[in-house]
Amino acid sequence: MRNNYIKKTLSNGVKLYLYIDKNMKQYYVDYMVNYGSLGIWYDFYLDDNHYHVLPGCAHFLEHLLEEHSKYGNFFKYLATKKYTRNATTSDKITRFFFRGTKDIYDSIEKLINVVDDPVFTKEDIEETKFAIAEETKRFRNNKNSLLYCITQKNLFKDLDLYSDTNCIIGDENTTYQIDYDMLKACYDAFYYDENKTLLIAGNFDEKEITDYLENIYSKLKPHKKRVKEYTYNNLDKVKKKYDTFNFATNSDEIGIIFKEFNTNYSNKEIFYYLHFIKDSLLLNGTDFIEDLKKKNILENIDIFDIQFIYDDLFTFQIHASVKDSKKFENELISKLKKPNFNEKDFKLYIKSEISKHALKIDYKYDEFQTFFTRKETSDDFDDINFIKTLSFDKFINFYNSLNFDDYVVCIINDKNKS
Amino acid sequence: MEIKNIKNNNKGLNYYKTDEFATIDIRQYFNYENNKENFIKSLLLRNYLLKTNKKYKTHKQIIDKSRELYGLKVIISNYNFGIKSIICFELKMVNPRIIEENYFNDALNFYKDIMLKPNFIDNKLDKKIFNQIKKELIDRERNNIKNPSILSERLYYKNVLPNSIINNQIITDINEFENIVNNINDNDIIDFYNKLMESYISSLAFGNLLDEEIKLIENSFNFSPINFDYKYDKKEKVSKEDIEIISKETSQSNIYFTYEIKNFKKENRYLYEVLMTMLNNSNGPIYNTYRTKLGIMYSGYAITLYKQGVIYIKVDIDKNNKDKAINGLKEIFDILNNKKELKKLLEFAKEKTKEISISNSENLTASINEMEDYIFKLDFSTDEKLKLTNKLTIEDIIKQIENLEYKGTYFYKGDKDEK
Repeated sequence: MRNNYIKKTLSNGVKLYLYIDKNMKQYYVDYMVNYGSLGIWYDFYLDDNHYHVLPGCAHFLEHLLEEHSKYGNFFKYLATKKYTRNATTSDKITRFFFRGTKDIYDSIEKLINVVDDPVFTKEDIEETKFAIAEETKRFRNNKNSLLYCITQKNLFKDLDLYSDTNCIIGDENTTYQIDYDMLKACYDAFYYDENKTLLIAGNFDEKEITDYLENIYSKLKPHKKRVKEYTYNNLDKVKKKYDTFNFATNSDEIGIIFKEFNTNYSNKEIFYYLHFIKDSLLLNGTDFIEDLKKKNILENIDIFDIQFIYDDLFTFQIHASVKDSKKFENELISKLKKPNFNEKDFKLYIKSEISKHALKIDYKYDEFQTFFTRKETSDDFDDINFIKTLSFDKFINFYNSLNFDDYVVCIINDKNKS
Repeated sequence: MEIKNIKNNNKGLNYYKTDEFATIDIRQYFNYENNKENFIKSLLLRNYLLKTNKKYKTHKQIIDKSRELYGLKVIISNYNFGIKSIICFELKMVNPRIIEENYFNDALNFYKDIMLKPNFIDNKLDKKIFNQIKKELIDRERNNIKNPSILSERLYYKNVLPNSIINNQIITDINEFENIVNNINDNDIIDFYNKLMESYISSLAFGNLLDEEIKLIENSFNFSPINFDYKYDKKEKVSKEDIEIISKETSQSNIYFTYEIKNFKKENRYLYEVLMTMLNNSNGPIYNTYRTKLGIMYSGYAITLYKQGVIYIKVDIDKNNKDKAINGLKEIFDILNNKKELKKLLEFAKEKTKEISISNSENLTASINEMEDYIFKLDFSTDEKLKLTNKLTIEDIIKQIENLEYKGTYFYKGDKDEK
């Protein structure tokens, strides 16, 4: 019998996912906030006051909380326990996680205090700026990160999903301008209790760990929701259909991002059906891709990514190294509008997905570590039961609901050629 | 893993039965002579075998068949153990009992089709596929060389270990690489393949295998193991000079400090690993000096080249902080020369080693790696290493540090104009 998460909500609104396995020798703990680097949070209302903040605040807060906690540098503290540990900020979430064998209860209590009872000062902020500024350079030297930034920035007329820094965590300039008031406002706005989730896995007793967590939170000041999120209009309009950027690269790189409004399908269905599209059309070995390579249009498909922006809005994007970007765009759109899917391929796809999920138990710690990054799609340990419900007919209906006219393009040109 | 439970059928098949994992993993290892041309031939051969064979002529047919067999994977990898070069063919599949499908035989046959029935019709390769593979390989390496992190590391080996066999597999000159690739013809690949098949070393089977499945694996391959020499180490001559390379393509800079291990012995790998754990933790000297105290490091770590007898410390820094980084090195070694600090670090490393062994016991990849270490006599078992590590004293560490000879800096300066 396969294990799944036990799902609960604690008294203060924090959500809890428990994975209990008596055979596990280690514990895994992950504390997540639904707040990340995307531009949907550059503007917000806190207690009716409007705030406009600089890019990189979510990431900056992540550093501050872990490096300047009431226990000092919390990372270093976890290191003394010989844990594997990290904290990350992505588009839509920030999380703090560790894995180890000893003193877990005490470490869980400290982690919750680190996130829920911040003590950072203005001096701590100044001290943190250098390392973050250095980190921004590494992002900006990556062409796929650049493509992400530019395509997403241009996708909506009135919403800057990414900023003009062309980097998800800002640049040196914006980093040095971030201040205490800005970060405090972001923390107060987004780190409220109902916006947080804990994932705990290991050889626990369910009641014991739940009672323990309730006790920890009972000693902390509750964080009520005070934020009102900003409403963006004109989400159906794009800012800029085509954009280019010069970069030191061997070949041109194209990013094409599609915008889709949807109310009829769950995120899980969207995820698996889009991945079938990717498998059928965009993998090495498919007729379409091999044909583009033979025609000297395409070198390689590098990225296929899906993002859920709001409940009724998602995007999917494709990055490719190309020899001829215009021809690639034309061939891709033409193929997407007139595909040739067949039920045999769909059944093979389902077979291999079932097997992939059956193997998740072998990589359970990796699964825990990626849980929050895919939680919008699925909050079960594996999706085998769900995958068996997918059908080719339903896929065709879904496919026919997609709009392939609403997209933006960015091309990273090899600057040496330019 | 319980090393004593690794069985050998005396025909080169080593197998380990366990019900801890859902994966079944089967591998065959072959030796080839280590030089640059052979390395490139191995890349071309690998890509060719994964795209076409006698039975499944196109890549799509191979993909479809693997999906039909529950998404199994056939992987062909290059391994480098010091002076030895090895190609590993691997079949990775889900245990048939878990998905309640009896497909083991079909899976093994598919795997054999890829390994043993190459598409060499009339002693020729499929021209279109072969040309496509060459082109993709050249394009991929061109892109790699444009990546500043990759290029910086490759240039480090080329400049600091100029005579090392590592450089046979490191590409820094795309024109030279392109020439070699384009000059390799069908006969070269076919000869390379035939010699490879005559250089079988051993096999591995791991997972919840039935006795009849093990028998099936044994009977599937008619290879005779060669007389393989399990010696991998060759102490390298390290260039003693300071090197600076300037790149206008990136703003990222990094600096390497290189040490030759004067008393290098392969049996001391556990000791070098402990030294790395002492240096690399976030309460260790590299983090404390470069990040906490000097505030100049984005990331930094120490690495040991276990077959070459070299240790280096690599730090990502801003281009203007080279001198601070060099001065910081002295502070790191001051910490290591302080017995009180050393004792703390050693205690930490011992406990961390124990934690890692617990983590590895639940990790599929680590378990198979340990089995490979045993088969190829690369390293002690986890239990043996733990015992040796626990016996280490600070005098052992001090003696090892005294036997590190500093060779110089390699500074890769990212001087891109950001405006």
